[in-house]
Amino acid sequence: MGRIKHPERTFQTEPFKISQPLGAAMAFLGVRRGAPLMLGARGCAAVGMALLVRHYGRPVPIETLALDEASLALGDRGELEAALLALHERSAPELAGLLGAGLGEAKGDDVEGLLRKIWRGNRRSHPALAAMEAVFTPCPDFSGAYQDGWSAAACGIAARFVQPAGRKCARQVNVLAGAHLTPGDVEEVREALDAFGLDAVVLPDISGGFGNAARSRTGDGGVCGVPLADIRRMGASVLTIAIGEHMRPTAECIEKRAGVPFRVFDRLVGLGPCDDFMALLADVSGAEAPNRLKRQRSRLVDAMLTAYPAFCGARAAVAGDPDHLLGLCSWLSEMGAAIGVAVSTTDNPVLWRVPALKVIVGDLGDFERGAEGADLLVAPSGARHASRRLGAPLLRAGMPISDRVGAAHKVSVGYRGTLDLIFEAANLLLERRGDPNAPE
Amino acid sequence: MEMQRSAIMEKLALLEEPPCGRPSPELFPGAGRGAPHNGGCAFRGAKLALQPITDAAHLVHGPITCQGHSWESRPTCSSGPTIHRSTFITDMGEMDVIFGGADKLRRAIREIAAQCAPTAIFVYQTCLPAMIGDDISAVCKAESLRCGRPVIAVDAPGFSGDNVQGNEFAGRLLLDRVVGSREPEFTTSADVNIIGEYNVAGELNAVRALLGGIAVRVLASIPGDGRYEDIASSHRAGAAISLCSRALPGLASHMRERFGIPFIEGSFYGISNTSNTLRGIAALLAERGGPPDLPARAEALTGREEKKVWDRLSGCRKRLEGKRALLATGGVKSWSLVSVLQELGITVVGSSMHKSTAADRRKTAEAMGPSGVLCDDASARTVESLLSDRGVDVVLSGCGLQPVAAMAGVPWVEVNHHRLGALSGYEGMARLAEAIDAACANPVFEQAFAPAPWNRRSNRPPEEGGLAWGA
Repeated sequence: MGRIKHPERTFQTEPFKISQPLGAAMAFLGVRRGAPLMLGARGCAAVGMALLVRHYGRPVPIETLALDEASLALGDRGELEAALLALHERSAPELAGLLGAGLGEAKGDDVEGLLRKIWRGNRRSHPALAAMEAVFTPCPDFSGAYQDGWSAAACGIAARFVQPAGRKCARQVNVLAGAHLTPGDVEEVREALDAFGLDAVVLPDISGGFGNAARSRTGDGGVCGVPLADIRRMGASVLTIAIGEHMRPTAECIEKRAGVPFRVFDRLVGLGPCDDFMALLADVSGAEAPNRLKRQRSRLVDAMLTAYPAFCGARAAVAGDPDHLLGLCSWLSEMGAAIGVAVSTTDNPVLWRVPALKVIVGDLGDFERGAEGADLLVAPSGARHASRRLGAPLLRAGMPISDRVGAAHKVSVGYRGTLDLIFEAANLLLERRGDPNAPE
Repeated sequence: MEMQRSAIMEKLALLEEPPCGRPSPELFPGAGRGAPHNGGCAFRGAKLALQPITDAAHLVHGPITCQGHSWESRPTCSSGPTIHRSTFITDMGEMDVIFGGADKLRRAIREIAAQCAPTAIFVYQTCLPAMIGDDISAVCKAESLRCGRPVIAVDAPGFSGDNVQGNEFAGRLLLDRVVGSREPEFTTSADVNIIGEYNVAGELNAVRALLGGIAVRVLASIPGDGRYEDIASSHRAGAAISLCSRALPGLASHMRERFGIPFIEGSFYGISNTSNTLRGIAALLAERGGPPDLPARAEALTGREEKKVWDRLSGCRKRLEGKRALLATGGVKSWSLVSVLQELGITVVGSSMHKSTAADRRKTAEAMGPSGVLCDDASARTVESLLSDRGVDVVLSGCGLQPVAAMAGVPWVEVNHHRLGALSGYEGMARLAEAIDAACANPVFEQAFAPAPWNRRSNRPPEEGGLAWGA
């Protein structure tokens, strides 16, 4: 097709790619009492953590090993063991997620071997560590992006803990939530399963607080993440539903280990995919769709019929991680908008399915150049400068949303989420159309 | 390996040779070997200290983690060029790791020089290219000759130290490579340098206005709202004000030694700090052959402004009296903020010091007195326990701790990068006091921490009308 462009670049300007290690860290925080630890240098955790705190509006505990030049030159001199013990002392996590953030990968460290050694030694010297599991996920920051790190960590967790089950639970369904789902989205998916009387085991589950984060005085921040015990029981589920193409490897892993069949939804935004999703749930549960879902669907159809004129002839430009990009672009084109340019953070086979005139693997500089003349920008907060310069409204979507509050609670999946998204986009387009000073 | 050796030598040099008149910075405050860590690094320290130079391009050589997440998170303002706010990063990929990234860096410098025509280009080394041995100093030297503008290698990869060491490295770099390399167009007898102001939220503007009020000219601001040319010719100033002790530590004393520029350590946070700094610089300049009536002008201005701001604060001062505050800025500005809060009648019960030098710690501890604790990290967990143990009424910190404070039900005021307005000068003091007052008075906490209906003793809503319900 030849429409995916990889501009020859010696540098990025205004990058919006979020690195793999942060994606992996968030996935580990989606496990109850999970604690991510980057195997990196001193500053590796700080910036990313600040970004995630602003995006989610919650504490995001990520730490790094703070390797110095001697450790880098000589290899591990006991830092990893000391760090694991310190982590245990500080917060006693059940799962330590060790993120190979790039330095070790470039050097060729054998972290798995080291972990085996530490664990063998510790059973005698530090019995407390026997209660802690550690999963190592290589996720170098010189390749891939956020969703790849997320996927790698989820896959590593599943590969370690999911057990084959003797007896299936007829009502238990695994949900593999992709990196592009907000906590609000995850909750919406869980509610849909609830509505059909199904029990969801969500991996990673960021719909509560994160991992080992601070407890709230209101008492609800402490319940967070999927417990390790539930992950071990994922083999007893009758079906795995993966949301986002990047969760397919995890679904395949669970199938291989425990024989659980799976279905991958590349998106849950838009009427068609939601219908397929609900049909699947009805099929699995053997129950009829409850009335409230039927009412939600009819409201969505109403919304589409009310709002479509705003999308007619509108030109949109979209930026995001590959799977998020696919969902947003497909939905926008189903509403009748044309997508002039779609900018992806990283290369990925799903980009071939993105319905855009041009797909670029690049940065927000590419986005701004490509979005010339667009009526609507759909991108993370970084695009607000482009929005101002181009005079086109910005629908904030993806990560990070650093200049608005509530990104974590925004729902854009399912019937209700799609409805909200449609009206939000339509109103931005209408406002622009009604503005006599808008550039032609 | 040349890179690593140079980084190690650099660190040893820092250890052996403390900047004149100051204790050497602690190595890795708050983090021992193998202690998990979530603070900054030498690269970030150096970049934070240099990025406020507004007409230079700042190019990071490394993978996306090092800069991609933060390119817009530091609103250092400019009164002119804004190229410093663009992020340039070589975004190293697998191929660069395998074949070396020096060639990519070389082409990036050429493209940036051609496309953006910056006055200078600062090139920042990071851990990964340092480890695989990309020689950025050689590349920068060659490209500087080729493109005819300064291309300066900032060889402070993250693993070589912490924030403070990165700041210090940046100060030495400016001293060795930039200051004194040009001559100013003209000088006056009342020229000063301002050292260590980042111009976050436009704070320098308030400072400039105050100094302008007593007819003192700012020859160069290093680095906030700085211009490369100004910094290069800053060795001709009559005196200097060293503001935040953490930013570019040692630069003021080195400039005194090398160029004979005397300096005062001052602060424009707080009413008496601001007045004392203005008086101090006026006296110093007058002594050095500046206009003899400068001290009188400073007296007049400080008297007028102090009265104005105390009048404005008369209302909220009563409400702030006796409140207990926790500072969690990592030590930046800590000691000056402590005295600011005390001036408002607020007790400071603690301060995080994970980004501070030993001198900062001493000063902060002295300022807080026995009632305050210094803590070495500002992790959510530590702050949470401080909040519950020490009866804190308000938290002043960066936005990272907002959720922690909120969950603990403690009002919070942003004093780091994203603060809503300048906190410097008399106006800034009033703004800070009003912000604390408004945060403490917010009614949301009372509602948020009331028990949920299912946790109340009686579930029954008060009845209306004549009929009893459920009777």
